[in-house]
Amino acid sequence: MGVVHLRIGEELDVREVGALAPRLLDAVRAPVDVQLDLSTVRRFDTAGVQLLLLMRREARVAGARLRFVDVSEAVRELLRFYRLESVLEPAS
Amino acid sequence: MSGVQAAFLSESNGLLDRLESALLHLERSPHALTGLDEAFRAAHTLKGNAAVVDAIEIEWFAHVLESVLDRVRASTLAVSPHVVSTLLACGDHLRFLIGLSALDEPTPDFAQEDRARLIGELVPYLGGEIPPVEADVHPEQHWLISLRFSHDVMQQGMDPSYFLRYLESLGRIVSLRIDDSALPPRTQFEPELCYLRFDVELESPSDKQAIEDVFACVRESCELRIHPPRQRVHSIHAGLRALPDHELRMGEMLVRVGALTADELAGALRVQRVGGEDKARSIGSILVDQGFVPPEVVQAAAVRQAEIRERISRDGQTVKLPLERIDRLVDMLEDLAGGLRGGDQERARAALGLARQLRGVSVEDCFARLERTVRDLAMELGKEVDLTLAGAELYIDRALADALGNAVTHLVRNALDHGIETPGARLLAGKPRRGSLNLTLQATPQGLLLELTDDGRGIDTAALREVGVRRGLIAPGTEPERAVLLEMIFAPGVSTREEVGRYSGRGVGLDAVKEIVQGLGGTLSVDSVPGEGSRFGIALPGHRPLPDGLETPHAGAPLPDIPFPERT
Repeated sequence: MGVVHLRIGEELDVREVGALAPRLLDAVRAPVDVQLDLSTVRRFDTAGVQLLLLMRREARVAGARLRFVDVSEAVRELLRFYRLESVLEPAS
Repeated sequence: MSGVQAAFLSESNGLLDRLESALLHLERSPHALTGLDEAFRAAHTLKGNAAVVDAIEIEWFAHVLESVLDRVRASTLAVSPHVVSTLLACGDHLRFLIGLSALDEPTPDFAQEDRARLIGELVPYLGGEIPPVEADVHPEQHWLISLRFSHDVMQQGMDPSYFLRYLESLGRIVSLRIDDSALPPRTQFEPELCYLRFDVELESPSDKQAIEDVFACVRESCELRIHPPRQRVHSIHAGLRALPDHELRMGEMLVRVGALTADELAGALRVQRVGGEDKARSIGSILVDQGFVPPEVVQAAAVRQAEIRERISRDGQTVKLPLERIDRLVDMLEDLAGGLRGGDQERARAALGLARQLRGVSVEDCFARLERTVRDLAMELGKEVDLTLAGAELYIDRALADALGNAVTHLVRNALDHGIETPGARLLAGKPRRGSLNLTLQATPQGLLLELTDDGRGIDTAALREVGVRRGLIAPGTEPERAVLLEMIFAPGVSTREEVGRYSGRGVGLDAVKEIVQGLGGTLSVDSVPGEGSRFGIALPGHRPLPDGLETPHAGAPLPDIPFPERT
């Protein structure tokens, strides 16, 4: 199984999700190993949370393995507030 | 309504009153078997009566209640507050059903749902072990808020987390659940739209309006459901009972007691209007459908409405009689009694007493629901209070009873809100854990005297002075006499409100009591010892209790001597 490495820049919010969504969702369409690096994300909001949730769902459906490596504090904080830290666990 | 049904109605209400007071007694003394027996017997008799008039729903539900009480009776475990609260709620539901049977209407859906819910709560007590008393943390104190923002909320520049963080500033978010079930398939997904829904459990002393205000700027476009904590629901019940006997619409009643915000009512009325067609849906069922108000609150409001209607225009139980007819009867009997001697005179006097009573209402009846109001309110405020009443054997004029009932309820609410401290604070102050409220009604040659005393924290005259200066009632820099400061408590908008426990509601303060008392031609007085308690007095010159026509003096404990105030 090939590994796909993806890294998000500084923004994963309502202003950027439109541009990011196609690339991210495409990545989990096939049964591949995807590693998503969120270490440099500084702006993260509910739109970002939503996209990650959808990614997880799509990955599950397609049989892809989605893992989050190195998550920034901004991302962790909002996920913690939303009681969604489990999202960061590897999806099967 | 037939005579049999009328008798059933009045007897059942009496039985429910007995059930309620037995349950309250049981709550205070969980090991007192007499309370349990009384409650069981009341439920049992009610069941029997319902069978006689073919009120199947009532019979069945009373049977469930009886079974629960029977099982509790047979067990050796103490009765928990949860059981009592559930049984009281069952009593309320029965009252509703009985009121409904008087109006001859079918049971609405929300009442059926509520009955199902109550049965659900009773299931643990219907078979198997009775669960032990719960731990301290109650989900009953938490608001349940469900949020569905409009799809374009984020595009509008507002992130849902802003609102949730704002909500958190009102208290503590106990749990937060994000529902992503509305996320569409990838092909239909528009990343900038919000498909997520939020369910929040919030621990907060705020009222419904304050919570709704958090969402003020998105109110129009989002779907917001706020369910009050169970305890708040108790106070809503108390609020409904305290509503004066004016015919109010369901929506108005609910807004008045804080169960519904004005916005929600407007929304529901809009739905009702749009629904149009042949038969407009009842506002109550819309409110429940839309999730604005829990079914049991609508039900309690409906019970109160039915009660009010019943009092305003009775049917079959009582006769509408012009007072002058009773007056003429009284005059005739007075003449008659005057002309007789011995045993005949005694009997004539007894008849005279009964005739006079026709004009009256017993003080005991007048304050009948007060005990329940106190209990529910105290629960909501986290306080423990005992209420004692002296003078219950007196009979007073009907209109006077109504007015006094309202005034006393306001005074009691005020005492519970501001006077009586929490059990912890009381113990620290070296007081017994439970606070006392004493209500005394006394007849003197000059008139009637009513007094409500509490052993709470007394009135904070320093704080009163501050409020007085702020409201321009006192010139800054002056030190008015204590008596003057205390009198200020009756000025509109003055009640020294604390941040927490804003139960006293909108615009209902001690100025309302003053109005009522002045309307009766009476005077209001107040005194207080900081740290020890307060005393509110209502003096009604010229008002007399109605005599019961018997020569023997009233039995019962002698009342404390309350001096009649000098000035008018």
